[in-house]
This record gives sequence, C-alpha cells and structure tokens, in this order.
Amino acid sequence: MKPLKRILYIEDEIDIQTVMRMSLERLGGFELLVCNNGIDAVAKAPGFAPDLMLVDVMMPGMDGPTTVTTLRTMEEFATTPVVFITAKVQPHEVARLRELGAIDVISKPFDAMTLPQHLQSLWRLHTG
Amino acid sequence: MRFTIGRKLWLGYAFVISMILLIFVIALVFNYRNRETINDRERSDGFVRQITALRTNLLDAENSQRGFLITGDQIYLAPYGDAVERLRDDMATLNRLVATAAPGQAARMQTVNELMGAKLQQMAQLVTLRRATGFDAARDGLRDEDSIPLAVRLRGAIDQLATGERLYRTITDARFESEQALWRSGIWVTLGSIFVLGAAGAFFLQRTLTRRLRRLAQAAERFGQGKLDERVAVGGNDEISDLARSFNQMAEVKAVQRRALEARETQLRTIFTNAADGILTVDGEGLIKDVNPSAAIAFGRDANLMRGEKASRFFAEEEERLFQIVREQLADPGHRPRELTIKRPGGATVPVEMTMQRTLHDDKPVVICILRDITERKRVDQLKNEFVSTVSHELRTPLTSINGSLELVLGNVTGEVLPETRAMLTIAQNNSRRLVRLINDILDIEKIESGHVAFDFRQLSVADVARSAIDANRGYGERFTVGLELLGGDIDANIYGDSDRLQQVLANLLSNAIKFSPTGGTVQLALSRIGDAVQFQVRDQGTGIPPEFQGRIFDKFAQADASDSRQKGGTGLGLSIAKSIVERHGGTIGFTTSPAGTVFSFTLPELPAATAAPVAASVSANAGPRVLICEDDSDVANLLRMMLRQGGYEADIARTASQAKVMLNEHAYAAMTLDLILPDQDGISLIRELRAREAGSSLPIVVVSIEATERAAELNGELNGDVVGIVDWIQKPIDQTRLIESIRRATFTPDRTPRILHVEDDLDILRVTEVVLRDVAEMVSATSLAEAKSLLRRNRYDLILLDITLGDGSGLELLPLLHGTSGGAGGDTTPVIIFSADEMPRDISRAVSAALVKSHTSNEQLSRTIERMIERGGQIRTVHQAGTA
Repeated sequence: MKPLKRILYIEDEIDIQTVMRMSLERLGGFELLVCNNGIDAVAKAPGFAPDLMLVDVMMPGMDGPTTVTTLRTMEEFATTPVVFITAKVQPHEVARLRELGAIDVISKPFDAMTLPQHLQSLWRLHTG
Repeated sequence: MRFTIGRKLWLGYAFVISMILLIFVIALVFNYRNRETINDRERSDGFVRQITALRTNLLDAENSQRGFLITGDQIYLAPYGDAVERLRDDMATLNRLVATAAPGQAARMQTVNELMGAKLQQMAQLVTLRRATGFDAARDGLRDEDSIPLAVRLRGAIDQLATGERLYRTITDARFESEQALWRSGIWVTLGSIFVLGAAGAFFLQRTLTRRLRRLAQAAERFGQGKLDERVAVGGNDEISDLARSFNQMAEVKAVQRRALEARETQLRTIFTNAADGILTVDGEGLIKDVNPSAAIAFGRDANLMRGEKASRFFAEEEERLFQIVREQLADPGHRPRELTIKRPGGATVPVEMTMQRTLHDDKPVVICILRDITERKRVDQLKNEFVSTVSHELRTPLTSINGSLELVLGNVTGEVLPETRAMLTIAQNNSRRLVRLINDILDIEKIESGHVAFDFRQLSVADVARSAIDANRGYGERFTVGLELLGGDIDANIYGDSDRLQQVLANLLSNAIKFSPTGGTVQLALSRIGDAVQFQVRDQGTGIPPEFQGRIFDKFAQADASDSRQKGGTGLGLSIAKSIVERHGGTIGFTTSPAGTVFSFTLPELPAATAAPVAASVSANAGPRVLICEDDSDVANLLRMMLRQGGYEADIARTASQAKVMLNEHAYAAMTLDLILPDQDGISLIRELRAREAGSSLPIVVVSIEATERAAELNGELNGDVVGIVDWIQKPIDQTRLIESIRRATFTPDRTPRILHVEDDLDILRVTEVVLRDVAEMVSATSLAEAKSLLRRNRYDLILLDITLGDGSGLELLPLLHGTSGGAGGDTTPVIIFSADEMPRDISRAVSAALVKSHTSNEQLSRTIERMIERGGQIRTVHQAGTA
C-alpha cells in the first residue's frame, strides 16, 4: 500500500495556507502544492500527480466543487481522492459535497495539530 | 276553574248521556201509561160485559116470573130462582167492579142497586101473592105500580151505567191519544235537542279546537320556514293554550339559538371569506365544494370555476402521492401541516403548507383543507440558511487561521515557546476556542429548532449511553478535580435516540455540574426507570441556582452571572440546546435546586422490551426463525405475533418504519410482515428503501394490510419482479393459515447443507469467501472458466457465486449452462450471484439473482445475500415439486 505523500491543496486564504503548510509540511511531512484558487490549480497542478486533493469549498471565481469537476476532466486527477475543507458545516451542504465523491469533509476551524494524522487515516481507509 | 278540553268533553258526554236517560224515562213512562190504559180498557170492557149480563138475567127473571104469574105453573119458578141468583151475582160483581170504575159510576150503581133491590122485592112479592091469592091479585099487583114502571126505571139506570162507562171510555181514549201524542213529541223534541246541541258542540269544538290547532300548526310551519318571529295568540285556558304557550316559549328559545347559530355562521363565513389562509372544502369524491377568496388567489383561479372540480387537478403532485399525503395528514394525531405544491394556470407552481381535517357536512364526510402560501417563508428560510451559512463561513475563516496558528505555536512546531508567552497564547487559544464553540452552538440550536437537522435514531442501551458520557467527561472533571460517579448503571433499558445528540446533552449537563461543583466534589449520573420512561439525573454539590435565574435557565444566552459564564467557559446555550434535543426525543427536561446542590434530570420514553430484542435471539440454536412485524397498531401486531408463534416463529414488533429500519440493521430477520400504512412512512416506499439498503435487500416481505389487494393490483407486480420479491400480499383481516404458509415459504431452509460453487480467479477472495460462508454452506471453488464448466457438467449446486472477469473468459458464459436443460442436473434454474469488481449492466443483473460489487460489499452483506439465495432456492424447488407432484 502506497503511503500518502503528495497533497494538492487549494485555498484562497493566505493565513490559512500558512497554517496548513505548517501543519502538513512541518508536522505531517507531506509534499504540498498550494494553489490560491481553482484557476491557479488548473494552471499549476498538472504534473504534480497528487495522492490526494485537499480543497477549500468557498473560493472567489471558481469554487471548490467546480475546481474539482474541472480537474477531474484531466486524466491525472480523474480518480484522485478529494477531501473538502469548509466553514459551511450545515448538513445539507456536507451532504452535497459527499455527493460529489468527497471521501471526507473537514470543517473549519480544523485542528492543525491532528490534521496530518487524520488525513493519514483517511488515506488508509480509502486505499485499504 | 279552568275550562279545559277534557272537561268540555266530559260535559258533552254527560249531556248526551242525560239526554239518552231522558228518552229512556219518557219511553218508560209512555210504556207504563200505555199499559195502564189497556188495563183500564179491559176493566171497562168487563164492566160493560157485566152490565149486559145483568140486563139479560133481569130479562130472564122477569120472563120466568111473568110466566108463573100468568100460568101459576110451578115450572117457571125454577128458572126464575136461577135468574134471580144470577142477578144477585151480577150485582155483587158490578158492585165490586164499580169501585175501580169511572168516577160518577158509583152513584149510578147506587141507583141501580136501589132499583134492583126494589125490583127483586116486587118480583118476590108478586110471586108470593100469586101463590097465595092467584092470578088476579098478582095482576093487580102489577098494576099498582107507579106511573113509570120500576122495570123501566131499572133498565134506564142500567143503561145509564152502561152509557156512563162508554162515555168514560170515549173520554179516556181521547185523553190517552192526546197523551201519547205528547210523549211522542217529547221524544222528538229530545232527539231534536240532542241533534241541535251536538251540532252546536261540534261547532264549538271546531271553533275552539280545530281552528286553534290549525293556527298552531300553521305557525309551527312558518316558524320552520325560518320566520323566527312567528308566535301564536294564546287565548283561553286549556290544553291548546298550554301548547300555544309552550310553542311560543320553544320558539323564543329556538329563535335565540338560531340567531346565535346564524351569528356564528356569519362569523365563520366572515372568517372563511376574509381568512388570510386559503380554505378549501373537499368532499368524499375529492371534488371541491367550496373555496375561499384567499385560496382562489393562491390557486390563481376563479373560485366559481373551481367548485365541483377535482381537487387533485390543482396540485402539482401525482394523484396517488396526493392521496397518500392526505391519508397521512388525516392519520397524524399531531396534525402537522404537509407541504404541497399548487399548480397555477400557465404552469407556475406555489409551495403551500396544508392542514386537513375530516368533518361532516350534511351527514357526508368532507375534508377541510387550510393552506398557506409558503413561498415567502421558503424564501426567508433560504435567506436564513444562506445567512447562517455565510456568517458561519465568515467567522470560521479567520478563526481557522487564529486557531491553527495558536495550536501550531503552542505545539512547539515553530520552536520552543517561553512560559510567559505560552500563558498569553493559551489565553488567546482558549478564547478562540470559546468563539468556535459559540458559533457551533448557535448553528446547532438554529438547526435543531428549525427541524433541519436529521437525527439518527437508533435503539440505544441506556447504560451504554451513560457510561460513554461518563468516560467522555472524566477528563474534563479531572481538570476541575471533580469525580464522576454512575448510579443505576445496571439498568436494563433501551431507548430510541440519536447517540451523538444524547452525548451532547449529557456532556452539557455533566460539564455544567462539574464547573459548579466545589473542588474535590463528586458529580453523580443516576439512571432510573419511571413508568414507561427512563430518567437521567445529573447531581452536583454546588451552591444551587439563584432563584432569580431559575425561571430562564433554559433560555438562550441565559447566564446566572455573565462574568461567571465567561469565567467557566460556557456559551450560555448549552441548556437551551439540551432542552431542544431532549424534546426532539419526545422527552422532558427539568431541574431541582437547593443550596446543597442541583439536580438536572431528563426523561426519555423507554423502548418496549418486545421491540428491543437481543441480537443473540436470532441466532440462538433453539428458537424458531425470527420474523419482524412492522405494524403500528399494537393489537394487530400482537395478533400477528401470536399467529406467528403458533406457527413456530419468534417475532419482534416495530411500530414505525424508522424503528423497523433500526431493527433490521441490528438483527437478522428471516422475514418481515409489513403494514402499508405506517405513521412515518408509506409501506411501499419503505420496501423500495429497504431494497436499496444492504440489510433489507434480500429480506422476504409479506405485506399485511387493509390495502394489500388494491395496492398489489396498483403496483401490478412491479415489486414482485425485483431480485427479492414480496412473498405475498395478505389482506386484513388476516388469514392465519395463509400468513404462516407465506412465512414458511419465505423462510424455508433446506435440510442438508447447501453447496455453493464459487467461480473466482483471485485466490484471496476465494479464501475470504470460504471463511465467511463455511458455516452456512459447503464451498466448492473453481478458478477458471473451464474448471467451472467441467464442475457444472458433473454436479449440481444450490448457488453459484460468479466472478465475471476470469483468466480464460467471461463468467457470464456460464449463465446459459445454468438456465434450462443443457448443464444443470435438473431442469430448474440455479440461483446466481454475480460477485464482481464492476457494476453490472442492468440487463445482466436482471438475468441473475443478485449482483454485488466487490468494493461496495461487506462480508456480512455477502453472507446474508447468499443465505437468502439458498433459502429461496429451496423455496423455488419446493413450489416446483408441489406443482408437478
């Protein structure tokens, strides 16, 4: 079983990006490609071949689900598992994201100290 | 004195009777007089006859005396003596009779007596003279008589007597005649007066009774026609007057009532006309009887054109769905409104909320529907949702950065933190966490109160819930040096609830209790059973709740002391949320407090033991197969259970569809009986839902419903055609034999261990499947298409578990061998389960018994499906044999 290594992270909030880098790169030891928004991701992500996509839902211009749908059209991202991260935690919103095929929806604020472990266990569940 | 009709009638009777008596008396007197007259006549006739006899005898005496006087022959003396004798007799008789004779006769009789006496003396003297002296002396004697001879005078006297009698007769006859005439006229007069008085009485009756009665009747009729002011002139003092008075009183009361009724009807009509909500009355045939203006506006149609139309025409829902909604709403004891969609002309739709109420109108059932346009509410809801969502997002986003940064810094990810810096950052972290909790709580309470959050109700053990809560909050207690203690943890009770939400309630209560307990104190969680409910009590040793705060303790942001709350890290929403959650569970929450401590307690309805069957029961070796009865009517459910027990089945009862789902998830049932009308879900939709779930996908279902026949016909075998069909549709009242027969067919298990052929090229999967299934079946494996074909030619199997992608071809090639005559040992079809990594095209899934996708299928689901298949295979064969035997 392949361990979780490369994560494509799409988020428009610079502060949260910083926190996330600290959590996932420093703490979790993952290889992170951070994109500022959907358009940025479509431009930068190809070739990165991530194991997992971590996508913020609310973003200006192209929102998370649309970004994922767009990336899915590329072969490289067609089957890449997605974890959404959102501040909108109303059940119907979560349900909608699950319908899009997300393996998990993480609500903001998340626990930066335990997030790497959480992603690892999600990964194990998904691939195992 | 009251001159009542009764008395009047009695008077009439008395008059008639006395008149009849009078006639009777008259007739009696008349008769008596008649008889008197006849007697008098007879007497008179006798008298006259006696006079005649007297004359005759006088003549005889004279003749025979004269004969002797002339001849002196003795021979005349004998007849003379006889005649004299007779004369004396006659005179005696006459004298006797004259006593009763007419007046004046006595004097005449006296004359006759005197003259007769003289005559007889004279005659006797002459006889004596003749005898002594001879003829001449006698002759002289005759001459010596007076100038008028005695004989003549005597005869004259006698004649006078006779004439007197005759005259008397004439007079009495005449008098009698006139008297008779008088009596007769008397009778006529009496009869005439009866007639006249009778006529007068009848007229009087007509006048006083009939006419008054008619007047009364007419008044009553007019009153009935709605002339409420109609009254009757009372007049008189008899029964009719009483009746008239009563009528007037009744009319008065009725008039008052009618006016009240009319006033109310006017009121209702006004409400109907002016109500902001639409009101619709629909009759038993689903036709609209009446529409109020608001409804007409909501429907965007003319009220007059809607009347008499089918109500379903104006709704967007399918008629069947609509009827189901109406049925559900009418059966709902809580009368919760249902959401429907109105179809406006031109195709626009309007969401409405509708409450329905069955009632009677002119003895016919009607349904009154009250509908409210909820377009605006939906829009507001939508706005609110968006707002809540946005606020939540906008608040959480900065908090994410703050929280994350603080956590990482305090987690030493950026390097060692100085103690003083750490203290400051911890304050920041605590407050950012508090802010997050506050946002979460606000969102939570908003969701719970608006009913937007779906609770995940399951059967829960009370003791487990309590133990989890204690474990989860022990750490928090340690921070405050407060111990947690569970009392009554051995309670054997189940509830029906959302585990996470109940933990939330208990965490709220326990953390509150911990916060307000003195250091070193103990918080107790006590469990007990109260009637049909289970009670949770959280007891602290704090100082109690201040009285001024007690009334609003469950209010939002209620804090005994704002600074206190902040100090203790609460949001002021915990109890409010707890209350909402408990109430959503159908429970109640409350508290008692004293300076020695506070007890918060909540009760939840206990799940009856019958429905809370232990899982072990279904697999215990001795018990019969277990059947789930899904039926909301407890009497019917108990009846079904009794019938099933007689048939050798164990049965559990689920009263609602959601309960049934929970129980199906938690226990293995051999079959289920299903009522189509359930309080929370339609039976058919439950079947469809079960089909989509792994626990219910292979469950044989026997529908037991009053609608069984019609719904079966409606669905036209649609559900029977699925992988696992409905075994039977049983109409209520329940036929026990048929029920048991159906369940038996559904749960048939062959006596010998079934043999399963597993065609699979992945050895790992083969091994896993064998482990999973070796308890229920004898497993034979084939790792290639060729091997499978060869095995199938030689043996027959009860079930084939088939992978499609095999090293030497597609598993689907085996299907023709299994259907029909070529390969199988028998002529019948062996059930096949496709167990493959790929989703099946639909046409192929129809050809096989079940198609399972590897990555989506749990071992348990596989095992369960296979068990069902084996049993059904047996059942198919049984039926087949029965058919050919």
